[in-house]
Amino acid sequence: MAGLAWPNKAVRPYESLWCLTQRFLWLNRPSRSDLVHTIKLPAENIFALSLICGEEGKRRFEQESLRRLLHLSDLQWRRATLDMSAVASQTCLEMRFCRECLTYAYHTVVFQLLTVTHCPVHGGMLVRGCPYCDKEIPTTFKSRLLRTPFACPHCKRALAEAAVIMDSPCIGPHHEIAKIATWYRWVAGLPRAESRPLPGASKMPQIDSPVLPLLELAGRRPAPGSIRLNRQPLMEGSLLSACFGARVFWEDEESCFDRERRNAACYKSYRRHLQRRIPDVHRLLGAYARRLDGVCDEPIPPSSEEAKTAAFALVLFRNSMEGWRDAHCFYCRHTRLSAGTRGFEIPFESAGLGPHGGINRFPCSRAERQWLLDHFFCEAIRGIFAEALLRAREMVRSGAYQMEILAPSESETRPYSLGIFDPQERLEFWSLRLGKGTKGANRDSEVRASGAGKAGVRSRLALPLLVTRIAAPLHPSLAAPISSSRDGSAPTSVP
Amino acid sequence: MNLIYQLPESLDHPLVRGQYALYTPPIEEFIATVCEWIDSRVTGGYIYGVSRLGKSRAVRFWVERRLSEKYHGQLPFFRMVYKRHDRFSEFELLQELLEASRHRYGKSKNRNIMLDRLARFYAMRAKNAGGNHVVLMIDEAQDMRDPEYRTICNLQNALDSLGYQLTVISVGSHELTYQHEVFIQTGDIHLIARFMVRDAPFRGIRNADELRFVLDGYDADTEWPEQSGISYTHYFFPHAFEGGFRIAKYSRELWSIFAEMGPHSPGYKLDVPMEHIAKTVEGIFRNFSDDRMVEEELTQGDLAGEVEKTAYRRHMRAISLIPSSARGR
Repeated sequence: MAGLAWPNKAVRPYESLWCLTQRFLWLNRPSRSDLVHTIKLPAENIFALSLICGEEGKRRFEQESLRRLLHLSDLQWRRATLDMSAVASQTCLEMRFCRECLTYAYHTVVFQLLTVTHCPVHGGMLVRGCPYCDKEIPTTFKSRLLRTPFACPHCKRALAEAAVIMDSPCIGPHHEIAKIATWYRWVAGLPRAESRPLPGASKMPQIDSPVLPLLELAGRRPAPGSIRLNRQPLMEGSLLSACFGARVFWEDEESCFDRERRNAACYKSYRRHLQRRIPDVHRLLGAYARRLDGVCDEPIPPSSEEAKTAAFALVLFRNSMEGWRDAHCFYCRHTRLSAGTRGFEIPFESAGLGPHGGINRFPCSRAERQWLLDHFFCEAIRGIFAEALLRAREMVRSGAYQMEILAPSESETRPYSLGIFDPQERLEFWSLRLGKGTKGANRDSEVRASGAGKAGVRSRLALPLLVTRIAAPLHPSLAAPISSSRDGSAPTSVP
Repeated sequence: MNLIYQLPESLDHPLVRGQYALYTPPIEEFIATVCEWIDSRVTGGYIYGVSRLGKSRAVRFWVERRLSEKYHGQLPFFRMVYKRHDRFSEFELLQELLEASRHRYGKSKNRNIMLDRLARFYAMRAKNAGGNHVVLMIDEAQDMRDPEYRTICNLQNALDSLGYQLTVISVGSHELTYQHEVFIQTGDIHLIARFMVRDAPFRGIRNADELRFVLDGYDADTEWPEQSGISYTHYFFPHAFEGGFRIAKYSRELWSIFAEMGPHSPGYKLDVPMEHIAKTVEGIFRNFSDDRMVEEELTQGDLAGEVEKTAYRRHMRAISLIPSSARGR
């Protein structure tokens, strides 16, 4: 690097961009204007760059200047940063260090993962912020850090000795770091179609996100032991898996109109299924509907709390799905449910199944995509009913009833759905609904079904079968999480 | 007038532009001395000599090249020409050092930052070269005083704390020897112990054989254009050169002229400055045509006339007034 102090072999294995940047600042002590002149970007852009996550779009372009400045190869760059799309919610927002590694002036992005609590090399507990004053050290390229490179910006103490920053020795065997980084890279690069993250997961500590354990299970790639995944939500939640069977290559030309009809048919089938499961449902529903409209003041017929809850949940569910204007609609017979008359919209695009493929350019045929859409839709309406059960339970307990639309994006019980290929390249559908929140509300859960369809044409048949097996709201004995089969024909339990 | 001089491309010739330096026996001795100091990891030494001997040319054109050959590129070498200022400024000195080192960030508002920057840059160069030793050569060092040396001392300490060694070689006129005396008298012994551990004179050309060696350089060891195989003598006298003309042939006559025109005080030993040899040769190349050299030889009068034009006599008279201890003879 002409005119700048920078080692020939600068990058140690998996060394973070933050560490490299700090070493560069320490070695060259540039002023703010020096840096602006060198990187050739506006100051406000430079000093807002993340030094932990590789970013996308314009930010990626800006980080590229930094990559060139530090002479990082593409591989070194990937190892120096975390994939924003894969682990953004799993990272620590301020710097975390291993004290032992700091004696080597070393930091790796793996330390920023909340799932990694101990140094994979030395085994020591990772510490947040400055090891001396405990104050936060930002992960971005702050201009004030220019005055104290490789030191705490608050107490100004150097994080490593000068001679060590100068020579930057290797930290020894780094295969554990490599394992973690490789696993996370696999997560980031795994081609998949997925629904939006679990809403319930946003309230729990991010380290407890059940998405990674589900990916680990569905992708059949166990995380290294040093990654502490919380698999408890997976065990407590309901998990469902279905396989498309052998791959097909023919194109299924199905119009949007057909899809609407199929969704409507799916919904009706599910509704009929629920009605069959709820005792005296028509009598109860009639009573609730009249009460809600204020037409009839007669008391609600005595019944069990569970029956009341289930019946009112069905009212809420139909209200959400059918887009009623008032309770009179309950008596109207809908001959056809179209997008125009139905209030509920399935977020296909957000599920990663829009016309341009999945979030990670999920490579599936049109038939496979349709099969996934059916399953995503089915799981979505299950989530709505589970939400309706929760709300109904609260209303029955309080005695204050009201009609409401249960928006799918806010639903606490919306499942996390995933489309993925198994090792035999067969399309799989996985769905996880967290146990938390639905516990005690008699959640609907999966039951064993038989004769699920095989590939291609049979995938059309798989939808009603799936619907048939998903709901059993009032039978706690059937509440254990059970998955359907991997090959679509014989359901199996998930361990 | 040599007609070659009038060709447009000749204006780019290193001899015309004065951008060349011949390898001479004094330069060889100078480099051998420097290498010995480097091998001994001396913290600092100085090389002195009266002006016009070719010290700066040696520093500028030969030292880095020869050190690179000897140490196989594993010894970072930095060179600075010290600029005298009315008032000492550490900022200016550090900035000049950074600029001389070709550091991309030459300026700062904080001298500590500049010192850190410089020390770390030197250290990194040494590390990248696979060693822990750096050489800094300061030309025109006769103008440096104790504050300047104290700043260099800080630089040396900063490098030392990083585990790297800095050898500072000051090159300057005979006044450097006076500076040594001043440090002794003012009690700055630590500066002497750091930067004046060793000293060596830089001498001029001392006999006809050495002069022949130098003139041979024009005939055989120079080349322009690059990779052409054409020496400077060949370039300016193409036909004469092919006919056997060599400037080295006149080394004896030239030496006798230098000796004749030089000081004759008792005990004075002649050191002919390279400047006057080079100017004499350049004068011959400029003023005599190729045709003339084909037809006839240079006369004693021609040579004496060219030497006279270099103001050799006046310069040597001035030098002869300098005490022999300061001249290194």
